[in-house]
Amino acid sequence: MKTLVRAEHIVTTFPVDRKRRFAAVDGVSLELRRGEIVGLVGESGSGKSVTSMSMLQLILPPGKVEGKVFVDGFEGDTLAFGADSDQVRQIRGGKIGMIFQEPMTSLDPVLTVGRQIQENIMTHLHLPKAEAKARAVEMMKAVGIPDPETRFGQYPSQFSGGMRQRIMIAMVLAAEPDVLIADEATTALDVTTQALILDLIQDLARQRDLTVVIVTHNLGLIARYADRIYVMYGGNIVESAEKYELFDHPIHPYTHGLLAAVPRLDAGKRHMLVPIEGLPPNPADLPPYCKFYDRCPYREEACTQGPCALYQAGEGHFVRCALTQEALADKRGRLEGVRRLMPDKTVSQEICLEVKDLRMDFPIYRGLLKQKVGEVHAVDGISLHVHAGETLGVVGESGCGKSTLAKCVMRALKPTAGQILFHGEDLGTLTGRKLKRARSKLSMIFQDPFSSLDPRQTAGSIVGEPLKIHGLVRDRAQYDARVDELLRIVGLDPTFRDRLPREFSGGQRQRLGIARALASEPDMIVCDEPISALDVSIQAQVINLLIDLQARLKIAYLFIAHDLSVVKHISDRIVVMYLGRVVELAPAERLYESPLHPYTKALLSAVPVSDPHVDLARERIELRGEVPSVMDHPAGCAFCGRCRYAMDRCRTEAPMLRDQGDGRQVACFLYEREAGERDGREGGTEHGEA
Amino acid sequence: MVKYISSRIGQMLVTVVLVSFFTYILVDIMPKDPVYALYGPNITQEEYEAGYRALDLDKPLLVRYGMWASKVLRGDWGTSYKHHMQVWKLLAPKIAVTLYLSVLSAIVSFAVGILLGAVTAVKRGKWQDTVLTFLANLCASLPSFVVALGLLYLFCIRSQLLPTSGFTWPWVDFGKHVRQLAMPLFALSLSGVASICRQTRSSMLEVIRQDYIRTARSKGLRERVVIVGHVMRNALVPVITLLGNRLAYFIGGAMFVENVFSIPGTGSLMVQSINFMDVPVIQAFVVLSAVVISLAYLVTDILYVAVDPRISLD
Amino acid sequence: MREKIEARAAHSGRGRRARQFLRALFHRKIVLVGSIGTIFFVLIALFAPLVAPYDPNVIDKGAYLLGMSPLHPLGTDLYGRDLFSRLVFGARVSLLTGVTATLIAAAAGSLLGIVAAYYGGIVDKILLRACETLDAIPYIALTMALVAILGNGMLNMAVIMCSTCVPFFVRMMRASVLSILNSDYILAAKLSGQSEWKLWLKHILPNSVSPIIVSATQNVGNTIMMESGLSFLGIGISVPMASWGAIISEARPYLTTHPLYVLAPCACLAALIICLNLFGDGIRDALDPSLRGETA
Repeated sequence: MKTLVRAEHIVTTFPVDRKRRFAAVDGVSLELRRGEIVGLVGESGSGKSVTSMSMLQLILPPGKVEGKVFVDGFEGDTLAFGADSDQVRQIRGGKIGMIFQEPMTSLDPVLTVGRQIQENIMTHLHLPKAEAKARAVEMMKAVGIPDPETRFGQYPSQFSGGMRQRIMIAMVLAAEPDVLIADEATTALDVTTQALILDLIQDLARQRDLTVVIVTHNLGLIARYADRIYVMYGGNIVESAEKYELFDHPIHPYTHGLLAAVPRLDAGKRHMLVPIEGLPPNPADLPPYCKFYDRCPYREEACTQGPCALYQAGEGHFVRCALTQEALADKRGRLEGVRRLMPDKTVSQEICLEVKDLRMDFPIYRGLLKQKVGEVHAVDGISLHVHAGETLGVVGESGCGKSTLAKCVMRALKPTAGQILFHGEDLGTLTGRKLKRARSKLSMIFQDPFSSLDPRQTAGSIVGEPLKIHGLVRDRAQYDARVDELLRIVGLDPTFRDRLPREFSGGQRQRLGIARALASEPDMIVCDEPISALDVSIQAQVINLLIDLQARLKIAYLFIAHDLSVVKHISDRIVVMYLGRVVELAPAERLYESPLHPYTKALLSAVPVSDPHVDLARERIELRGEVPSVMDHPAGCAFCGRCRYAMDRCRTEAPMLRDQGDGRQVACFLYEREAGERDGREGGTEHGEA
Repeated sequence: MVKYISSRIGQMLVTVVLVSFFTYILVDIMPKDPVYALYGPNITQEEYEAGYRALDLDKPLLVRYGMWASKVLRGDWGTSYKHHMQVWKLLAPKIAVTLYLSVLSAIVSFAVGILLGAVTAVKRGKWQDTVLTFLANLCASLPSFVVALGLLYLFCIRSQLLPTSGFTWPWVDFGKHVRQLAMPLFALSLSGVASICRQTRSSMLEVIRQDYIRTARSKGLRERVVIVGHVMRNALVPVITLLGNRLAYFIGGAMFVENVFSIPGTGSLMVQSINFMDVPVIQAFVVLSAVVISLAYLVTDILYVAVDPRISLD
Repeated sequence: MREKIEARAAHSGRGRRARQFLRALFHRKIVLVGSIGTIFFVLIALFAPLVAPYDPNVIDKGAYLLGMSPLHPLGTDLYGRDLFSRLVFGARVSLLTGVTATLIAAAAGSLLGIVAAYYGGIVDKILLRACETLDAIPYIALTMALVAILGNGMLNMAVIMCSTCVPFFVRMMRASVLSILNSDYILAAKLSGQSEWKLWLKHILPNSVSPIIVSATQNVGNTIMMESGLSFLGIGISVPMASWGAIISEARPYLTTHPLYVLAPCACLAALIICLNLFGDGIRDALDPSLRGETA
């Protein structure tokens, strides 16, 4: 295979202050060959995005890129040409196209999307305006945008996130580049949309013999789509290999750690995750030796003797570690045995929370005058219950109403209809002292560890606030002791109690949030996407903490998240939501092994498993379209527009949630048959009408 | 869009009516008796009472306001206490001068301010940025009359390059117009240029950081195209919204400059009117300037919607 | 690394944060210059009777319009009063009106802003409309109209000038309270059962106050500028008080013959306003780096 791009020892530095600079990328060499899909994987701050931007010289001053980049068709080191030179501009867009993470902000909001595509075509293919327009429309069609002629003249704000990312792809590919860099291009999208977009990129790459670089933190995506993988940490490539080689024989301690820290959809629920201890490195404060040293379970004295070199561990397999392959394998044998089992927990039959036919409508205001134009049924008749000490997982894509459900349960919103019974008392009717007591037994952990802590309160007073509100301590000494204890429970140093939230890292802040939730000794905690803002290696720490706390303190969780793997790992039972309704409810293992609802199946298949062999063997269900806007709620089943089994009945009548025995419930007409007929049938394809 | 504009016009009318009502109440709060003010202090009891009725002071406030407003709508702003002539005739030529000066100064401020702001943003951290930003910070809050006096001293008294005072319309004598206007316009626009420059700079720096600018760069566009076609287009949206606010500021500032350069605008008339408590003139001026400024805000809002598709589409 | 964290934690929070704030404030030299200038003017205003060599209001018919001399460092005015002393006392008038007006405006504006945000609905609409109405009148026309009604004592002047900047504070406070009310940490406190008034006292007010402080510092310069402008037009603070604007107005006819008489108060005014603004910008940058360079 021909090499298209070769980067040699890229060092990208940014100033810390007047004198010092730090290297966000510290000597990265890589090459991209024609037609392959390369994965560049790492956590935030690993330098993966900076690496890809450095190759295109998109780093703005005062940032500085050193090293060499050779691009096929251009003489010599392209870094030497300078960022605004003709050659580099030809490479950008013309040779190497790039799509970015945030589809909502990556397109110019005041220009029509058509014009932005046209601009790219005219710059690189030098076509006249009319031809460029024709080609733009053609490209929009190729990436699956319906009615491209009309949509050509629309603005980015008129497109959904997934559609905008398609526009980006159309724009980049319109100039016929050889290489496409997708920098976390699907991170902000829903799981099913993510699968659609990456499938599209994969298909286009095959058709056009395009080289694709997928830059991501998600190991599953890499396992599913990439051919060859570079693993980055602290500005270095720590390991690189062909996909199967890397997943079958990972060598570097960090790669190992990453693989063990991420919950897998196909894994059993017996073991805890193995988190990578410590914090992700601060790029401005990296040691001159192995960047992973502080967090590495294999570390030795020898590791601190200067930077370690890359060595070859197999064919096309390179590792950057001070320890040899054999030494690492030897140590691994001894460390592997200590993988923890999940703690035993007791789920009682007592019902802690019961939600009965909950509805929550919001008015929609539109236009310049903000007139009310209708209502959104954000939660559209939901019933569920949570036993004491149990974890009920709630999954669904954006707009499915899972956060609204959480807010209703917490009585942060007053539901339009329905009841929320907490220990048998209707939260909606409680007032005064009774409500306050209920509040002390029901806490919440928020998604955003930055906005959910008062920036002007110290850690101690944030954690201690519920103690004072509910009069749980008698005096100052008891208060101090309890705050220290809470901080210790969540793994924070009690001497940090005088610090402000901004002096903590994201993971530590989330621990503070958990400590606050625990302060009033609740029976139940509503966790609204508690880990989605955290880095992969930190997620595992927080998940383990939550599991341990549950076993120790016998708390019930209502665990809301969009990441099915995480929800499956932590939950006893799982509720799947779609556009304000529950479509399926089942025990976690059963849901994974034999999902019933077509949406659940599609959702499961969209989630990649971080093992390429397993992932390849799984059934892939392609979903039509994207999650519709909450405002265009179909008359019948909410899913009918995207369902391949949709019947006429589905379009007019909404299916009820029905018990299927063995603790499973599903809302689908496919399962409205006699129990006997249903048995042994898989998915009910026979009833399908396309 | 039509609906939006008509509702904004409705809002504007409400504002103007409120302003006019408050200014009308002035007559009642003002310590000066309007009858004596109009006819002089040396009148008989009968004359006083006749005048009292002639001014409709015997009627309730709201009725009087209604009568005043209906007259105003017909273009009758009443009679000046001091000059004993129709307020409109007195005010119109002066308002024309003040408006001319303020609008011109708004144009200059926006044109030069945006240009300099763009230079500072593009050359961020270079000496051009340092110098211009420093100057802008110094000048943004200098009172216009201080600048005017300084200019007067430098260009008229020390070097006698420019005439010290007066105002000539351009169609009367263009050369003289330019020479007379140079200093007042500079004095009035300086702080405007400086603050628009600062605003443009920060707005552009904000836009330059945006993801879509990185997208534009990654497409291989020339830096000039990126700046003009993408950065400026987005960065000017918030700058344009300052138009109404700035115009209000210039109408106020014009009074000082007119005072220093003896320009026959509203400035000196207003000072006289305040000192003489010439209520009808004050009322007319306040209401008229409220109309002008509300119009400017209206235009700003419409421009805003027209320039930024996000607002109308949301 | 670890030792450093512990060493930092050992310091008590408040003192450390105060030091951090000061370091951030004086990080830029220009802010230091502005702050020193501001302190200089404040000291002069405070100790005016000690600094001024003469009584600023004593008329000496024999010594009018003198030039610079060891006896009168900046000469005398048309009534023979010592110009330097008048300028020194003028600093008092300017700073006092500026600070008073700003304090009143910030207090009243914040209160109304909180009321608007708290009650919402019709109260909010009325307050916003009132602000819009005030904004539609050019500040100079508004102040003139108010001077005509209230007269021009020093306290009146302060009230009048604050009326022109109240809408700004109302809007700012309203916006910041609304955004705080929508934040997750307020939700978190509510959900823990925190009572309404403690919610405001502990969380909302402390978090909404810093933008108000920033704008207030920046507003002092504006008010001083406004006051001097009105005095210059002859409708500001009444004459016996030696306001800089009034001195300039009085000296205006002598620009040709006695430029120093006009330019000295002009220079004082410009210097004070510039120093105040540099200081205000510094406070803004130190309190909230994200606001950097945003004010018009």
